[in-house]
Amino acid sequence: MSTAFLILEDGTLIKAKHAGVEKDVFGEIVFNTSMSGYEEAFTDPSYSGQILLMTYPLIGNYGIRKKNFESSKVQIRGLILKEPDFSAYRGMHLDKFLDLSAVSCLYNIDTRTLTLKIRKHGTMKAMIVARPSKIDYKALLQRIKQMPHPDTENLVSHVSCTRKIIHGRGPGRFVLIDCGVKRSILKQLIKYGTVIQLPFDTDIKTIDRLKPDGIVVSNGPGNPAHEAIMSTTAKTVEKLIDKYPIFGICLGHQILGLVLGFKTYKLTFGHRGSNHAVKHLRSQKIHITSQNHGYALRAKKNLDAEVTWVNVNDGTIEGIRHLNRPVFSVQFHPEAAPGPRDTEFLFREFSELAICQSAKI
Amino acid sequence: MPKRKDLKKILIIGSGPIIIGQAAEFDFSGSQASWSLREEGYRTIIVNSNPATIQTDERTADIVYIEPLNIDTLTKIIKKERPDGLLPGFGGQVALNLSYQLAHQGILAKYSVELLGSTYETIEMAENRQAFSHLIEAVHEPSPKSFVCQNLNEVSQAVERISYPVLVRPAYTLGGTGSGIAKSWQDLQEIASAGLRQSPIKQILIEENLLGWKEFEYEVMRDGDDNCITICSMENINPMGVHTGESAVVAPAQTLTDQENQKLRSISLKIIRALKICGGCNIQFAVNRSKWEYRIIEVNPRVSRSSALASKATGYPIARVSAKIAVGMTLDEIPNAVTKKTSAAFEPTLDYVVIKIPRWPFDKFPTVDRRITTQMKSTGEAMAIGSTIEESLQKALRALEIDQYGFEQEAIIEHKLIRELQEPTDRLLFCIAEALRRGYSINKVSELTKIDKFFIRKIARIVAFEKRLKKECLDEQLLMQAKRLGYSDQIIAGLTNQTADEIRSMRISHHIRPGFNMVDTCAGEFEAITPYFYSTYYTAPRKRPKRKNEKRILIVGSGPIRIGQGIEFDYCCVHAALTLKEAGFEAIMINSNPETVSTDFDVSTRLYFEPLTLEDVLNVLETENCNKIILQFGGQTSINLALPLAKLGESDRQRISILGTQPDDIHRAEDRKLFSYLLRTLRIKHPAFGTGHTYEDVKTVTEQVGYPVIVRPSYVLGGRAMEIVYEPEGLKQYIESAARVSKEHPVLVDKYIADAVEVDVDALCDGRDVYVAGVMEHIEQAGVHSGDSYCVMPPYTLTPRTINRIKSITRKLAFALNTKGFINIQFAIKNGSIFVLEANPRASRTIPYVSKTIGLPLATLATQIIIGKKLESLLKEKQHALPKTRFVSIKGPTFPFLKLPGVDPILGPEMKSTGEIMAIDRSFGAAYYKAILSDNKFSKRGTVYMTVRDGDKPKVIQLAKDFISFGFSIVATRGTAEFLRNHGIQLKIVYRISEHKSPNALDLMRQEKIHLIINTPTLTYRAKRDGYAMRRLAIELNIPFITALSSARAEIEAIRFAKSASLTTRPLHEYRR
Repeated sequence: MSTAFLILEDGTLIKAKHAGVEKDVFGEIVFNTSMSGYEEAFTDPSYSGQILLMTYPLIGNYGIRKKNFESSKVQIRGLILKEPDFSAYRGMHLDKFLDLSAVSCLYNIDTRTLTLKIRKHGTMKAMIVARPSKIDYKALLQRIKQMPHPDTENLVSHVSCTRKIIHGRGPGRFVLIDCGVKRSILKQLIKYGTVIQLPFDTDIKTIDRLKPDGIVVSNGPGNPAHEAIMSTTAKTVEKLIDKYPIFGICLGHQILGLVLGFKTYKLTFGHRGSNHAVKHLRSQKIHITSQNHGYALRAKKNLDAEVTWVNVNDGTIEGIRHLNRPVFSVQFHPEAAPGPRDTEFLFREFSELAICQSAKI
Repeated sequence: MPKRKDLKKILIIGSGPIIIGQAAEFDFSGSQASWSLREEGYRTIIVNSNPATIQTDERTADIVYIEPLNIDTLTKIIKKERPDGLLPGFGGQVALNLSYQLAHQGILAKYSVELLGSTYETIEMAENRQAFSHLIEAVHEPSPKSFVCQNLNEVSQAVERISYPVLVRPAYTLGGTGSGIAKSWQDLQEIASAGLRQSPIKQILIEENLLGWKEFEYEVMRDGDDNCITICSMENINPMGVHTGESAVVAPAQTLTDQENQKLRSISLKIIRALKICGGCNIQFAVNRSKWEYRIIEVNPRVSRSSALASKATGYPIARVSAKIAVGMTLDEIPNAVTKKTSAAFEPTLDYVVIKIPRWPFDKFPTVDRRITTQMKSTGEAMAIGSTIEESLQKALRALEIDQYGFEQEAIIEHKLIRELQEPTDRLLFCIAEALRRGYSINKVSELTKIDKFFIRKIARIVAFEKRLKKECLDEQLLMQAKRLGYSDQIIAGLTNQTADEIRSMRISHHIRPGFNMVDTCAGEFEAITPYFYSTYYTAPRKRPKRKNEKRILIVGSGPIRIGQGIEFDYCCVHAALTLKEAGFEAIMINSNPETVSTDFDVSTRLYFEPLTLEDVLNVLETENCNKIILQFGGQTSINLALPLAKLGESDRQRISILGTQPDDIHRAEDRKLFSYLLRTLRIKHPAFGTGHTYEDVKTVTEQVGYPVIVRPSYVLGGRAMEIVYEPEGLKQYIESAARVSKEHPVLVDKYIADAVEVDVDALCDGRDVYVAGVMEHIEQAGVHSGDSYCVMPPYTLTPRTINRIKSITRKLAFALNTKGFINIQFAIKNGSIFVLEANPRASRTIPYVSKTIGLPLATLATQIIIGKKLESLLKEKQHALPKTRFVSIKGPTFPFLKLPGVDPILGPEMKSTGEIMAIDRSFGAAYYKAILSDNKFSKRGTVYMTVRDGDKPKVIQLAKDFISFGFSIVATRGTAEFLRNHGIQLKIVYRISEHKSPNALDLMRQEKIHLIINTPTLTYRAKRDGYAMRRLAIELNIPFITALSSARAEIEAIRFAKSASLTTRPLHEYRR
């Protein structure tokens, strides 16, 4: 337990206690409002490049178990907490976990005030200074300002698989384009068939050879309009539209949207939490969803696609579908984990659609 | 779906008087429902027998009925008002049961009234245990193994299929009344027969025992479009085996992984969908965490105590939204009360921890069984919000107002401590801390209590810090840490040998002040405008305090509901806030009770959910930069702050002005010597009194004053505060068992004026004029606590001359005490002499009752006086004198005896009732009849059992004759019987148990051969003990029970009325026309 600092690009400097591995980390600071599910959040690849602030004050209450991980390792760059619990009697203790997974964590921070700041200013570049002998505020601030935003990196390439991985052996055959997929998406798909997980930059020929019933484009970190994505995943998806049923989730939804002619933009502070209400426009039904995204689609006129779901709170686009093809996507996370499972049915709908379609052909 | 246009008029049934298991939460939900519907253009009708409610204000509903809550009355109201819909789910179990009966008996169909929110089938499914089990089975979820039994035979069959211990639950009872755990056939027989008697449908449930499992609750909502959301998850600190109303509860759930949490959430949504509820619903789970097993233990298809807690914990107005859903609106169409921009379709997320702790009435009942079980005994609760468990927990403890400011030491011997941990009482949390303090391990304590180690560990952290505070030098850092752990200044002071004031000064000099965060339902994600705050030392205080606003006033609420301080004071606080707002002031509310209307953030300009201790109140004053405070509405809680605040005002640190009557004057009324001096100078009579510092002293004083006397200790031991003593032995017993008498703690002795008529007066004074709003004559003699008496307006035996004299004394006293606002005075009248018993320059318990009787909002007027308006102008358009009433209004008490085994239901100077009803009609007989009906105890025929003390015997002759003329037969104990026979009255003799002869009175009671008991006990110590068994049995068998002859005479009037006429039911405003 030592003293450390958090410094934000707007100049905010906060003194705090430190846990985990004592290393300085740089990232985009974002907040998540879920009250449970920290194991899932820490290991969600969509957080790649980010320092995560949990708004719920008590974290670590029920320890940490590998079975609740959303990927093989911790994905967040840093962690900001109010009151961690280091001695839960179930699972691994949080501090030990932070040590083992080399996470730099600040705590005893007034996370509420910090959250309000991020809400107002938007997400910011930030740095955890873990072991300052002395702190040169001006130099640090200068450094943060000069550091490129994590979104300028191809974050997807850090979290995507590097070779083909096959899961399950059910009747359906799904190709999963892995932009940083969460395990729960795999678990959902495996219920309905074989899942062939491919790297984000796989070309169409490879996919064609696998003869899939449908394609799922996964969640993932960073800017969907990043050049490295536009020139790879987006290109492939564009060609896939006429051939296969497609289901996009989160980043996958944004990539599909870009391909269909939507634009993307960055939200001030994103949607990260387990309580976001979305409305399905055709049925007018409301569902509570889990969300984790910083970018969103902007509507355009005269496209081959329509908006199918919207956010009840801010009206942002939560889902789209192609007008003539079995191609659709959602911004939220139907696989939940963490969060409500109200929209799990989308996996069933997609797999039924995909298997039906391929039977027709 | 937009709101329905086919509905115009909607009936809302309230929950009746405050009783154990049903407190202020239903005033909150009913009021919210009415406001919510009127906002949408519907007309609302509210029926409730409880006058101390905001919902029965004519500004809350379009039409108000203060009438007994029964099928007969409701049928009349439906027939007269022809509502289109009925909201069954906003008045607790009482309203739900009545609505179910109205539907069942075809009354709703006959008058085409639609049940809104919950259908008949829904109520049936949720409430009938067997239907419920089937439903849970149908959705493939487990409920506890259970068997419905109608008799002991079925019970014995059921118990063969589950193993002991088993849980017994009567169907359709409140707050778990009559339920219990049986470990053997013998236990089971006893509990089961009691349960069968208490269940209105004579049905009990024998259930699998889940003792020691964890308990979780989910508050969910569904709209007519089948959209479902979860409002809040809650985790009980106490394990299964303790009623959720008796348990400390934390929100949100703390120890569930997301997987587990989502599992329970999904099941909750599945159940609310299966039940097709439109509105709020509460689902309770038992969870065995060692192998992840769960059972659905209860579903409440209505808003509940838990939903009130969830509303206050999250800021999401469940009742308000439920009412709109009931008229067809969908969640996305209902505006979000927090952001005012978005819709109600979202799930709240918290960035703080909420803890609720129940408040038990055991301080009033030294003989009661204090164990907390499956049956509710608590009367109210306190809630606290903080950043961590530790901070919230210690705040909640001091919010209980039990004179403890945190985990103080518990003086208890070792083996008793262990028993406390195994068989918890109200002291459990303190005993856990004490065990940890004495070196018990977390594992050991968890094993003994079956409480999750997570919580024990948090208490251990608090206790461990005590040592640091004791040992280390208190510096800025240590102090800050202590504050973050929720330590009060008072406790820190005790541990560091300083005064609370010194700690406070130290905090201020180091800038250690709490920050105030908004309860915004969204953890800061969206901009919210809820004027609802809590303090925490994890957030830095606001840098620039708000600009001083001369028009900003703090109202101190009344805290948890307890005996002696009920919902009436919350009613007054709500009026004060609304009045201040209307007059252009900022009304700042501070309170700690999650059930109330005053903690609805719509009521005040800003709401602070905080304990009501001096420290916490000062913090709010500081952060608000406010220096005006109103203390006269929050009962004893707020008035007790008057002197400390005044003292602070003397030191120039903070100039706080207490609005209304000044602390010095309050003190003059409260201090016996000063008050007696005042009365003497005003030439007003009062009972002789004296003070004793030793037993001998007390004896001498008593002899000077003359028996009987009312004695009260200045220091209370074991809770027995006040008693009437008739003879030297009684005095000896009292001093030995109840009062520690010493130089520091004298015993006060007042002459008890026996057989006097007691009169209560509520008046307003602005310094220039006095307005006597109500002169209430008690039916019971003086000596029965005014809160426990029936009282009548206008007085029914007093002469106009006496009333005038009472009014003139009231005026004199109000002026002499420099009253600004309310004053309540109690009088005893005997043989034409008028004695003043006490005067309280603050809102009294009877304010709502008087307001509703005379049709003037007294609390509003008092508030206006406090901010400088004059009575003359306020009352200009209204008549200045008491309104000419052509009706009789009666206030009656409700008692918790059934829920509290071991308590003698005899009435005395110590208050025992939990709530009140009001009955109003054209004649005394009719009004009293209604009053008794409101308590469900009335027989028009049958057998009266009389056993009266010698002095009363001549007075019962006429009574007996009256009963016989109405067709009653009479049985009496020998003494009474012989006396009556000599006066030509025919009756049978029954024997006392001690006489060992048949027929024995208790047997007759058990055989349901006695329908009314008139018992004026000889009040010597020994005789009181003898009658106890009979009184207790009467309570358990629900046999009407009268202990004062004046009440018996009133009963005669009621029977006379009931025999000759039937009741009429009118809306409140019609009586005053």
